[in-house]
Amino acid sequence: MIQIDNVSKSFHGTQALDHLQMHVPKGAIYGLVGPNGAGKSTIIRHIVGAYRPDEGEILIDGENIRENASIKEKIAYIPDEIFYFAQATTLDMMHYYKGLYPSFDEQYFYKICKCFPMLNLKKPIRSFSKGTIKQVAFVLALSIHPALLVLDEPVDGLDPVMRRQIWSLIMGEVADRGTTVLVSSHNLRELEDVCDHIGILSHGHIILERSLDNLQSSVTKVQVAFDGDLPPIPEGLQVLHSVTNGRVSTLILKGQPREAQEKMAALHPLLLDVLPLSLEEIFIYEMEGEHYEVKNILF
Amino acid sequence: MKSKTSFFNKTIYKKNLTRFVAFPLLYFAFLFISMSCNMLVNRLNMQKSPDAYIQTLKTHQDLYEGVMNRNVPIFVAIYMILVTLAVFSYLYQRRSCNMMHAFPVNRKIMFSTGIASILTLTLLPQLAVTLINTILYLVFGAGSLVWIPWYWMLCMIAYDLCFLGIALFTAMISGQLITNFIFYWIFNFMFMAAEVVIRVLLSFLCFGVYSSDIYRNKLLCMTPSAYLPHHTGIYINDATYRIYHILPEALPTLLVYALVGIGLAGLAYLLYQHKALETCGDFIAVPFMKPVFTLGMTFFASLLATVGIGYALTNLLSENETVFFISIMILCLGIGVILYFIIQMLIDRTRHVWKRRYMKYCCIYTGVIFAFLLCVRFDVFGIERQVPTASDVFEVDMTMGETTYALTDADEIADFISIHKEIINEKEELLDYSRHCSEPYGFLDISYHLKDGSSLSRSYRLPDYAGKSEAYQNTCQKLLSLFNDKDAILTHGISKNYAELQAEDVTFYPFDAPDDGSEEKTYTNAQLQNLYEAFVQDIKEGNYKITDLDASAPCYSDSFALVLRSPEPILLDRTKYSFYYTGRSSLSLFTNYVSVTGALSPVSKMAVAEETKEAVAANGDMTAHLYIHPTPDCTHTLQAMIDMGMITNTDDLTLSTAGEVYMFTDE
Repeated sequence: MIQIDNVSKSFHGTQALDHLQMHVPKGAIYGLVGPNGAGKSTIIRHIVGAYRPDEGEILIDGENIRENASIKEKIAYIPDEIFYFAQATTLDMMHYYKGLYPSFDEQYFYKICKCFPMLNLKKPIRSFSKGTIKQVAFVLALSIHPALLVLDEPVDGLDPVMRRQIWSLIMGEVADRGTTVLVSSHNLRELEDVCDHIGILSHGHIILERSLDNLQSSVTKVQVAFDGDLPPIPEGLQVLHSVTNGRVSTLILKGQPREAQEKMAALHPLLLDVLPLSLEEIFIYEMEGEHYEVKNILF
Repeated sequence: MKSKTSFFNKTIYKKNLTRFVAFPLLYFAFLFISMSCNMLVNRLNMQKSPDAYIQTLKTHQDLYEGVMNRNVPIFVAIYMILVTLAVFSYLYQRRSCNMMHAFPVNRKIMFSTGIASILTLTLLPQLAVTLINTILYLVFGAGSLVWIPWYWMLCMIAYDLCFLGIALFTAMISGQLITNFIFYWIFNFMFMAAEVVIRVLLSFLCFGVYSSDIYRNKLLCMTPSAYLPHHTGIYINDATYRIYHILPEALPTLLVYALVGIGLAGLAYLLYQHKALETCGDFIAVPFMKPVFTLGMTFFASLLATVGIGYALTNLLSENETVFFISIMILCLGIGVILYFIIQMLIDRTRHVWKRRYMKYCCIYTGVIFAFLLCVRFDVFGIERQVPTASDVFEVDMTMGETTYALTDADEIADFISIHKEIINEKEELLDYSRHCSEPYGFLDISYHLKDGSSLSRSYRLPDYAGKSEAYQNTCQKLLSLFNDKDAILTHGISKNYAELQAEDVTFYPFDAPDDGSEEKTYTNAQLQNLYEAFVQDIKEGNYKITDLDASAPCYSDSFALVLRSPEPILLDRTKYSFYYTGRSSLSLFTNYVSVTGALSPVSKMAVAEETKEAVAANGDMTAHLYIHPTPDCTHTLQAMIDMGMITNTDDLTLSTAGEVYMFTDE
């Protein structure tokens, strides 16, 4: 869906994007993570066609996004700082979106508005709370039935109930229409429930880009206890991280969980448990394996 | 729904019209009240005065003025920048800028739809008022003049396109709303302002150039707000108010400025296509404009500041030109360096501008302005030596004291030009008197009116020639010979028909007279005529000097004013140009119509010259006023004064010198 090749961008002498390579498969929910200043919002603005790269190209469905109105019709974008016309109501913005996007579904718009009972369609949007303003943005964006939904820090400011509601609607779009979703965040915990692809951005380039399955199948956390000292780890298993407390050792191993369990079981430990790994933990240890300064990347 | 037309988006267009509907409503209200209502109320009031009403019906001057009083480009300029700022306001805030460009419209459509919106918001109120005014003209019986409101509308269209182009151009250059507004006015007035500042600076540094010359803007055409009123108006005959002509250059001028506006809009479109949106919020959004703006503004601002401080120093450092020049130079360079870094801070939004790169540019600026000032000081540009050739001159007006002669004869002009060149050659001797002169001096003001319609002016302080170089004394003698020539005094100083004039009144101003008017006397017509004829006789015998540069020359402090009546209107030599050089400032932005002004093009000047001459001939002044300081040589005049009882004898008069009576001194 999105192919970014060798994109670079600098602002006032600062290199914001540095030969960035990124690929978002069609139908994926892609989480773009990175610390503040990594370049998340910058690359997103390139993807939606607002910025132009100094070099490289950005293809959406095989077409260059630059000044391409037909491709933009398929993209719904919710930025971190949302813009509405002064004194515009939700209905005003609905009419505006309807005029710009041929695929805008007015019936669907009213349908999902019912999911947000606090939303007053005739009141100026600027009088709403931050969370409600975001709700309006989601309602408008989803009513377009976009092929690509681009979200920059999307649920920031929403209460947990509303977050669930929003993600539920997005998942519905993904399931029903195969919508591709690109969501940027600096919070891995938030994304791990929804994303199936992850890309980590640091200093303007992608340092890691994997599907979640691939990630989860490539790192395993086991807790083992032996009678004596910890024996040598079997070949084929790389220890990314190890912590020993008395007889109990917690190991982060590079490799598939089943294979790691079988190999560790062959050592006849007193205790062997395969523990769930959070996305955050996976990346911390994966980054250590990649010899990155983790403290420079994670949060 | 997206429009099928590739240059237009109906949704954005409608949104612009609804969001900014207040602009055309307010503009319409302004035009309606100031034009239509004004005309209606004036006409209704006028009907209460039958005589005035009948007179008005003959010319409909009130209706003409009611429309053309609003043929003022500056109002359009103000409105256009406000509307453009509103429609393109999304470019100046990051969130709106990113969002608008993420919508499924490309920049071409956004730009052209924006223009369509602006023109709709501007033309609709203008058109509505034009229709209303047309109805008023018809209702009030001015059907033959109904073309005037539509000519006004045509002017508005041209002004709209012109100022829209400028507004769009500055909109694409700047990254902030407020800087767009500032840049817009800079672009509108920078040529005129720069010319004024440079002329004032030249008046400080150049021999013979004075600040009174600052209103001869040669670059006025680069300032549409000031140029257009003078060149797109409707000429009316001041004397009769019956003739309405569109100025010959009006339609071409409107077309040119409209095309310039369209061209600037095209340039703005190219800038928009390449505009990097991350420059939103920057002082200047286009990289190549940064050094241009920095150096240009620094140059101009430092000259402006120098001029301001220079005025204050003029009196303090007036006695030595070298010291004055060095002071000006130091001021200009110092202020310039400071301003350069201040402007750089504004552009880069940081105080840390002490970098090698900026230092390099600062040195370049300093070098340029240093060289500029030196070139001006040593007349490398030939400003001081600029004197037209006689064949190019239509008329030269030379003024000393209160006397102005207009020379139109080719030989006289050539003679005068050679005298002018001699004065220039004596610069070294005269320079130190330019700013301060502790001895008596006279002013020589020169205005050359060239055949191409342009003019050149100079002014010199000429000190008392006693004790000066032989060359200077010779020059003064030649100049005084011109002014004090018998025929010149009679025909230029009095009138061509001096022999036909009848004296009808005189007022004597004795030097030591009481202020209570107790010495006022009345005289018979015969006595008055005798006095005048005696004065003429003195002129013919070469006894009278209208001006002098010999401060020690004897002269009476007493004077008298003669009122002379002519049997027909007095036509001065300067008729053709005197009405065009009225001293009216071409900086006026609120000219609403043209009768005759100093800023008319040569085409218009010649076109109205004959008509005005006839009007003046029909309605010109029938009297001349002479103010005479007799000298001891004016024997006939003095005798006539005694004969009529104005004085008992010459002892009643106070003998003084020319230096006291009609020369100046700065002490």
